[in-house]
Amino acid sequence: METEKLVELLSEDVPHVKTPVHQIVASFIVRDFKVWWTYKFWLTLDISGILLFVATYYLFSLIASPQQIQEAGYVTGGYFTFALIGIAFQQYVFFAVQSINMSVRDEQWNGTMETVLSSATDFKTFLLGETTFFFIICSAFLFISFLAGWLLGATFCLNLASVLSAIVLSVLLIASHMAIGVLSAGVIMKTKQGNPLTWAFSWMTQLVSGVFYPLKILPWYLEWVGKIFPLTYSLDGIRLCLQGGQTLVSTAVLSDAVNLVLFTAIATPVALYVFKMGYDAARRDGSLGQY
Amino acid sequence: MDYAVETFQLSKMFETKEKGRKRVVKAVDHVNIKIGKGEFFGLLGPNGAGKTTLIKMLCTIILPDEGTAKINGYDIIKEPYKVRRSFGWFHGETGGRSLYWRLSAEDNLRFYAYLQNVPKDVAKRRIDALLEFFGLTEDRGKLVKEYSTGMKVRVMLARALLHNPPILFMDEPTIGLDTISAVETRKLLTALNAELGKTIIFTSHNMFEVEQLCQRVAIMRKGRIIVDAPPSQLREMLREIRSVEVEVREASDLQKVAEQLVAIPVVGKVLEIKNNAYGHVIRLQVDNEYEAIPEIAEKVQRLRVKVSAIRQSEPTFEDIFVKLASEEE
Repeated sequence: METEKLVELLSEDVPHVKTPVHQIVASFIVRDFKVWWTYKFWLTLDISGILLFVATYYLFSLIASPQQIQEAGYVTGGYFTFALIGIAFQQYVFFAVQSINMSVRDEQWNGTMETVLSSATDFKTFLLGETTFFFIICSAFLFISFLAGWLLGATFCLNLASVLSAIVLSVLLIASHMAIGVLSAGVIMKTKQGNPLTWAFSWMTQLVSGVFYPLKILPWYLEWVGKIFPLTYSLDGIRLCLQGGQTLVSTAVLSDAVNLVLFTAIATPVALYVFKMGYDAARRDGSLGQY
Repeated sequence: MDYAVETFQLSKMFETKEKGRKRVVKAVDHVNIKIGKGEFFGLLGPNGAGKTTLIKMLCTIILPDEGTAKINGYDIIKEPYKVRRSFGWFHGETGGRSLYWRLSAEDNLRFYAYLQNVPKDVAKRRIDALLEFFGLTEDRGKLVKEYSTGMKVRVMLARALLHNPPILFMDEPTIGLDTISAVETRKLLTALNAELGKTIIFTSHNMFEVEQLCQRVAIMRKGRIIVDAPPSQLREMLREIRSVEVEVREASDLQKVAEQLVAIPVVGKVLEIKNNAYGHVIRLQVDNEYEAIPEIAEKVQRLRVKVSAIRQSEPTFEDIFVKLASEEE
């Protein structure tokens, strides 16, 4: 193409219209999917990992007593379904805490961070874009886990109202963990390191949020520690819906949902504030693009 | 007058650690520059002079410690998003790292178009045109990781132009490009400046480019602007750089010849040793060319060096830059 033609094309008068947030977020999703798709080996490993996880807890369930599970109100499916829900939804914690950090780190590592953040897109839309794909992937993994579990004999107590209630709780789980992810990304922006902290957080939630066993079997002080984590309420509510057939109308599920809403309502502005602080601190010391 | 870029005592300091002790380095030190709309402005300086920090502050990537700046009339601290809509930024020092290597050129540009609020249909037309202009149409679907450095640079240039901003920060835009692409890029930047009135802030280590393209040049050293003038005025200021060229046809040790010539009292230092069609050229800084030429002639005769010419030479833009950049040492 001739220089003159290109100059003529660029001289075209285009009215300034802000791209809708959903379109920008969609472009992040397409970008991340295309990048992710190029890592075929990782993709295979990720899916194999989920299947192995599910198979492991199936074997555990063969030796575990279902009594304590039923006492906690999760009447259908026994330990295998209990653990399946635990590990499937626990993935969100891993993705929220690890993947957002990895995503920010990758942008810094690849040298794309400065270019993206010097564009007209604000940092909140940037964060939404960076995180959305991971939650989509996580939901896909959740579906694969449930499918594999179902094939291995997991049973659920399903009706439309309980499934819809579980979906609402899942959305609240995502929202609350997105806030945690954004908060830790803000810390990483400034400190350039966060993995030990985020790993500790991931493991702590596994131990005290009722991923592998009902909270009731823990000593009282650990049960209280577990109540700090939103995963505890998410798992309890979702299990009550999918294993107990309860809905948001029941007091126990509603109480879990209210706790999650409260956590999200408090954590989201705090997380955005911490991220903004980290972002501005990185801009002040000139390290926005460095990891 | 409307300015595209206006800085007010803009300063940035960084803390570094040297042998366990903290040290504050002034990367940009109270810089005041005014760049008119439609100006082609060159920003030069040796490595570490503060050019990149200055540009990053103007691009809102680094927050200043003191002072502020206006880009297209918007304050870089108070109105960063309005500022970001106003410029395109090419940062050549990254060597193509600022692209998503696991996406194609087309996908990279499409993603960036969304971020810069370019409507979908306009983005498609521009992406097609820019890929064609930069000779990337055939490889548009290939992953960037398979591209050569030159191809990556061209994608980055296309990205900087995609949203058609009024101001372009071109940080070494021809770095890594082959000669033809570099010529085409210079031609495009000239046309964008002359025909569309784009303000271009240009940095390069290629002095020929700077002299050819820029209407005004600022030289930075240790965070400060030490000179801000049109290239012609810089030449005037540097009249005192007097030099003589010795065209050597044959010599067993050129370096040794140069050393012997520098020993002549009226000769200063060796400015350059290069090859030309007739052999080699030694450029020497001298106090007075009329006194130096006969002495050099006598010396080369004594050294039995075959010389085809000894003549007075004009200082190059590079000499000017080296002199000004090192003057305040």
